Amino acid sequence: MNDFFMVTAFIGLAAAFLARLMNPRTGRLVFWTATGVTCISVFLMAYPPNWSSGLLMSVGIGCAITVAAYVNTEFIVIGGKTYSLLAELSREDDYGGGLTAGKAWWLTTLGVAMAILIGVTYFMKSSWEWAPAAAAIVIVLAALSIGYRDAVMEKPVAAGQRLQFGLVSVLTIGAFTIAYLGAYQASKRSLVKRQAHGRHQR
Amino acid sequence: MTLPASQRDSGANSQQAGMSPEGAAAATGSMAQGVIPKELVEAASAAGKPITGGKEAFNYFAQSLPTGEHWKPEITTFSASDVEVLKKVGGNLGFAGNLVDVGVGLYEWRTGTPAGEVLAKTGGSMGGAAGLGALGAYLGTPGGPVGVFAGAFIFGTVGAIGGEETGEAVYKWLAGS
Repeated sequence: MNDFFMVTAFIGLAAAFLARLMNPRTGRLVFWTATGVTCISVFLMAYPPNWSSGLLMSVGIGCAITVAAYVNTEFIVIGGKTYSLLAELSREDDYGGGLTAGKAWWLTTLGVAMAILIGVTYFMKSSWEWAPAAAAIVIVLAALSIGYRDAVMEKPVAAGQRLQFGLVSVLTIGAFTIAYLGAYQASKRSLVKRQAHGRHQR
Repeated sequence: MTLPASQRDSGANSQQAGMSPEGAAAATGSMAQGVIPKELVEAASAAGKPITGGKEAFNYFAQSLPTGEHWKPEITTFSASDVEVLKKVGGNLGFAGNLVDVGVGLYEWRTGTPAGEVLAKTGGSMGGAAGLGALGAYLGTPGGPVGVFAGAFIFGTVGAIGGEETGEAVYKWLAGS
């Protein structure tokens, strides 16, 4: 491998980070230039002679940096529209955590999937038999918390995010759904009762 | 201590902003041969996880703070600029953590780990931190903003570590080794 290009790849990574500390307009230009430098450098580390490993690593690192930018910055602008996980929201769109309902539910889906995968991995790899149980507890507690929150915010079930809700249900063989709906209905009922007594409590 | 002229020159070169290609190659060459201790790379990799977890914590914490007058007057509210500062800290931490992860992966690839394995680990770590960070924030909600911070931090970090292990396991399973 070519070590000169390894140095330029690291310089590119450092510049990509520094771009976040600059003003947005300059930062965006520096970020994308630095990302380009990094990707090309990574390819040239392996090529010549190994173009396939170089290409795989170059594209993979490019994707990783882009995802990091989507999650943490507002550098991704296509056709005047900014793509960012935590884009500015109006108050009605804010579903908590500075996210829209759709994004929040996709993150929940990702979290549930990763919790299951991590639980299975530790079970298989380190034969830690409590790992799947720990994952299940985390998922069920999260479902209770989300169900309560949706009821308090007077949102429909799963805030109308049916695709994500369905995916999570399938992944957890219904456990998430039961916990969520249980907390949702119970919270709703107790809220109605409280209002009937004319008490407004937070 | 007096150094031979040639060594003094190369030392001066590497301290300047522009490293010569030969000097740079020598530096990383020695790094690959273990002159830069493996422990340092492992430390960077280990530090990346709580950094990413901390990012989740700062973001969800910032968003969970009470702002504006729709809250009861006796509750201390935070100005919009307080929240902005916290979110900025979170974003910086997260971005740094992710890029450190990418850098560590690059080093592992350079020292012989297959590209697919490195990418599976990096992807697993990022996905685990984001996903479990979100679940952790929900788990901490009953504890108020502090609970949200702790939940997102702990589970974000667990997700980053566990996600990396999972990525590696999935890759090895797919590659059949």
